Amino acid sequence: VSASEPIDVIRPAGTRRRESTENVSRIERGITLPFGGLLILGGMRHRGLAGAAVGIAGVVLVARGWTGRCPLYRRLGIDTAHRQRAAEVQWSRTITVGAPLEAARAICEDPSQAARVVSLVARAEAEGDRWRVTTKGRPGRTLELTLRRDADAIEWRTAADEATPGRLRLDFSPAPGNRGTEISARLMLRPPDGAVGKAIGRGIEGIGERWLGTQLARLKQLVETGEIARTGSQPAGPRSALRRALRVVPVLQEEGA
Amino acid sequence: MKAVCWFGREDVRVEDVPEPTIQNPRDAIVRVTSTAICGSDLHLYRHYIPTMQKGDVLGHEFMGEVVEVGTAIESLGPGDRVVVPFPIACGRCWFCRRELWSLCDNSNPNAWMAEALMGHSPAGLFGYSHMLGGYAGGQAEYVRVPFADVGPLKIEADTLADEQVLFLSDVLPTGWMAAEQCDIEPGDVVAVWGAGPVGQFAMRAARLLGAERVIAIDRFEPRLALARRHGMETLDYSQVDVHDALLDATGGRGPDRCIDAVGLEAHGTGLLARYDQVAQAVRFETDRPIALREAIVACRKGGTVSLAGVYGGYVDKLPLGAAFNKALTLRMGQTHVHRYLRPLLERIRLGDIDPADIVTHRLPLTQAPHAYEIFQKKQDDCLKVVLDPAA
Repeated sequence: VSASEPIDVIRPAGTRRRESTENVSRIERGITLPFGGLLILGGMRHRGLAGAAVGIAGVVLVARGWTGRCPLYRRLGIDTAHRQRAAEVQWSRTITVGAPLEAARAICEDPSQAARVVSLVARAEAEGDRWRVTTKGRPGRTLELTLRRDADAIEWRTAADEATPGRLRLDFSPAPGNRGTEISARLMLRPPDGAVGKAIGRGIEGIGERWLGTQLARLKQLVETGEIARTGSQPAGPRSALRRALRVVPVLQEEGA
Repeated sequence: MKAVCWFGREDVRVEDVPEPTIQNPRDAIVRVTSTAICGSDLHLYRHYIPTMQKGDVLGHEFMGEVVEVGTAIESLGPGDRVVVPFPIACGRCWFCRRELWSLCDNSNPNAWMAEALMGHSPAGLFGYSHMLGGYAGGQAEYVRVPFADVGPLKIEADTLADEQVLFLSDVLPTGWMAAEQCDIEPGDVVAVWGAGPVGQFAMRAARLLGAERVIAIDRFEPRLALARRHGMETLDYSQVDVHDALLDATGGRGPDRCIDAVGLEAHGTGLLARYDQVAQAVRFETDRPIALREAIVACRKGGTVSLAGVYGGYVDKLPLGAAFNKALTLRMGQTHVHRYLRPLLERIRLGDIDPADIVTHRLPLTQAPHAYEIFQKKQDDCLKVVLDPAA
């Protein structure tokens, strides 16, 4: 791995198709068209504003089905008319860890620490440069990763045939003023192809930045204090129904939980 | 166990919740013997601080007896009597090593929330929103104390009652730091906005640090009377124009040092005070900086304005032009409590400061909802409530 290695990164917002204005799939058009017609008929049966509104909605849907163009989709960057290759999504964050570069790097290369630091990892084992990582959840997913090293960086890559191929790169450099080590992390994922994958990429874009920053903070906590700050399993009164529901989604939980 | 839980604006309840357990090797579990309601708890009570969740255990002023320690704790053991600082600090990061304890880099597991609002995260705090850690607070029978080898101060002397040392956890060091960061010089006149607990201690600290005169500004007569008992001058802002009165009292110079011990829920008189109430209600600003505005405008040229009252978000109509053109020094921050624990304990022991005289109400923990209400409404001359979990 070298720092100058080109990284194929295109953010989802930059992937909108320009060559065709059609952005609604055939199946969707086949549903939209008759549904719009039904709304027009329904609107004609009712007088007044409500009837007019339903009728207008029907006209819009008929036009959408007839032309295959949806302004709302265009505004949201959605295109179900064309098979799309999902763009790679990248997040990057940097943190300063109060430890010499070698010590900080050694912890990063230690698979036994990975499960402590990375909140979604249940277990990690290494055989040479091959890492086997099991994620939390039921059932946990097992990923095969390859570790690559150079003088200033380490990188883990999934196998190319993974459904969601990805790589995590950490660059190390000394911080000024004897503050320790600056660690820059870049996480790159390629969501599955197609509109669903694209929507996933868009959906996780904001969460990923936060998640990566929190993992770096946990790494810093472990290196500097020997433990990771936690607030899980602590006293609390009855939580709201929404909060209880969110607790089943690991990535939405507070990182300390 | 019993704990005071937050459920919404002006809705706190005493609930039965699970007891805390050791989570990390540097944790301790403390059985709380005394806990107080802080003025900044009222910001939570009125829901001015974001990221509170229903069921959160409140309280960041507490002390008690250690009942259990993690495997890495050697400096404390079961039976030790301790006061616990409200900021949680790891003791090892760049900030802790420079005694900037409330800026600890490692104690907030939800740092991303604070970073979204403030750019960086300060230390985690007990019982003070998820943005600041989401730690369960000390208005409970038991509390988990992270980094217990760094924060808790062991109280060896049995002669000191809880009420004499309890306020080392927050309001006493907070008042002290507010005065200390004024860099008071002999002959200085110090004006203190807010004669609540923090203001009372800031005034006494200013005196001990060399101020010649201290002027308290408030509208509640019992609070002003307490300040007078300690030799302070007083101004009732509901009766006089504060700016004119301060200029009159200082030969037209203005106070050399000004301390804002009020913070985001300031009250005031006049059009701007009404404007703040409306602007805050419609979320045009999150905080009402009435005291801060007055302090900046009244402060003498080249003077210092020190903020001890809590601010949480955004303010409007801040006279930054006055601060700039008068070359004022602004100092502020959550208190680096750990820095002051031992020196202030020594001052208590020597009798320089008697913190217990601010206590107006002693109530069982189970009466916390009533206590919050009378403190918030300033009923029954309420200045400081101490809750007893065992009563």
